[in-house]
Amino acid sequence: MYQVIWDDDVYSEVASTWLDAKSRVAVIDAVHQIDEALKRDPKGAGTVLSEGLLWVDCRPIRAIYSIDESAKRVKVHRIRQIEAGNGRHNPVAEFDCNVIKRATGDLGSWLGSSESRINRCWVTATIQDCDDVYKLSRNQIVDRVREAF
Amino acid sequence: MVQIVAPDDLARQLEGTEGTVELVDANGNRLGTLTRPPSAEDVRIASERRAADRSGMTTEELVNRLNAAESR
Repeated sequence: MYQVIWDDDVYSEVASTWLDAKSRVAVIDAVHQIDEALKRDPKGAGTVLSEGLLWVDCRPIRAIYSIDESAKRVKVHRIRQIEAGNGRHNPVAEFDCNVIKRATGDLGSWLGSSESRINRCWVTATIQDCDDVYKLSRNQIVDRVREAF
Repeated sequence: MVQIVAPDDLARQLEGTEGTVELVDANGNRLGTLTRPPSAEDVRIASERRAADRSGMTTEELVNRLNAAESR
């Protein structure tokens, strides 16, 4: 397990995203999801950029981070709010994250794995192309992800 | 993975975007979504902060600060 540290300057970026967000719960939830993913597998969770940096998206935010293997520490250096392009609304960002959490729990049972091992970012990414995601029930989300699996 | 070369005008349009971009055809039919990588500016800022190696906070401290700010 790695320790996740957020750069001091990142706080103001998270705070500004949080203040502007349509759903503050979604921002906090994304922070926790990023923390969980980076603690467990920082290399696997993100995409390599350059200069020892990686990035990971967890709507509505994107984190750019680095890994210190010797200290088993991950440091987040930059946070950006990410939205759907062309000013369109992002249904996932507005979606009640608790529904995704519960669906993730159901998927954990189905896969025979604990919820902590199922990356909620992955579930979110799988359903993000559904325009009607915010209308889906927990069971419908589970079905969609099962179909995609 | 299938690779498609974007015409210059589309490539220029994409340069000004961030995060997820939805691509549609002329009739508005959805072609798919594209995830844009971080901008050069974001990478530069992240690199500078990494080099500065300032102190930081844990996730719990970060969330506590946000919650405290909300209650003020």
